[in-house]
Amino acid sequence: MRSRLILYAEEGMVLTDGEVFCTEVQLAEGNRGETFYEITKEEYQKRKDEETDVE
Amino acid sequence: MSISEQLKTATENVPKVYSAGREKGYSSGYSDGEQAEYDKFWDALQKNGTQKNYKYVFAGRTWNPDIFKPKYDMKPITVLQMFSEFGSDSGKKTDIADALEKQGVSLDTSSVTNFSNFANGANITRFPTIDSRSATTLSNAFATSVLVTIDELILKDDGTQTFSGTFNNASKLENIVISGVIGSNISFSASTSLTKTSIISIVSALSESLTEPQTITLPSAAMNKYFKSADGTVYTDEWMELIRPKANWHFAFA
Repeated sequence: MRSRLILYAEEGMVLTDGEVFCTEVQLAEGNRGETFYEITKEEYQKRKDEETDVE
Repeated sequence: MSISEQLKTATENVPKVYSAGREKGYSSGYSDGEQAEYDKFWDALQKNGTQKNYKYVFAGRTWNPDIFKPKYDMKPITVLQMFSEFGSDSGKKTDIADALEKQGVSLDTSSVTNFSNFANGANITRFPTIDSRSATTLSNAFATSVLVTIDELILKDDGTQTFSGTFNNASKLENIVISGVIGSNISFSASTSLTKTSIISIVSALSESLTEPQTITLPSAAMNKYFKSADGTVYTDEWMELIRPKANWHFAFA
């Protein structure tokens, strides 16, 4: 049987693997999502602002 | 007068003669005499049709559809920042596909090796077919909040290109047809107005032979609209069927 796990961010949180930011992710087949973790929306905004500064 | 001096003079004159021509009632904006100014400018800018280096050539905040009137077909090799900030202070949006069609000229990008910042920040609504099969990267190529349509984006067939920030801030993007293969992380997270047809085209282009998982980020708003149940909790059968061959992709929604 083929299946995909789905990760959802808690309210006020954002999922990231350090590069991708999202609120929901359908994982690749067989993947457990070990690389994804949650950060707060404030932390997310801070990181995006830092990226913009670098650009 | 050197070529660079001629180019500078012509650059300054083109908007002036265009305005003068319009005031005199010439529908094209140029009288016979003014046609000579047009020719002088575009002959210099496009090297009588032999120009291959279009780096920064249309990068400027004052370009607009009234003065973007290329004389020759374009087959560039270098396009770094070719349309960067194009017309961003002009108050007029430009449909590049339409402008080229009106001029009867083409833009053949099949020899371009690097699309970095091709049209970042440009006040451009539409591009014709963009062939990127010779390019290794499209970083920030279409990072503009004005772009609505790319008639077709042709990618390599081997999935080796990179897409760092290719569609950053592309919040108006609705229509895109992708040919070729996407083989590394790509994000359309800002493109909340993507049509269902565009999303299907994008997902269909994802590589089916990845050895390591990659991630595509799509806008939640569009996903909820087209590929989820009415209460937003379940993906449609159509979506699950669409992603079935894309086993090694993470589908992230932002």
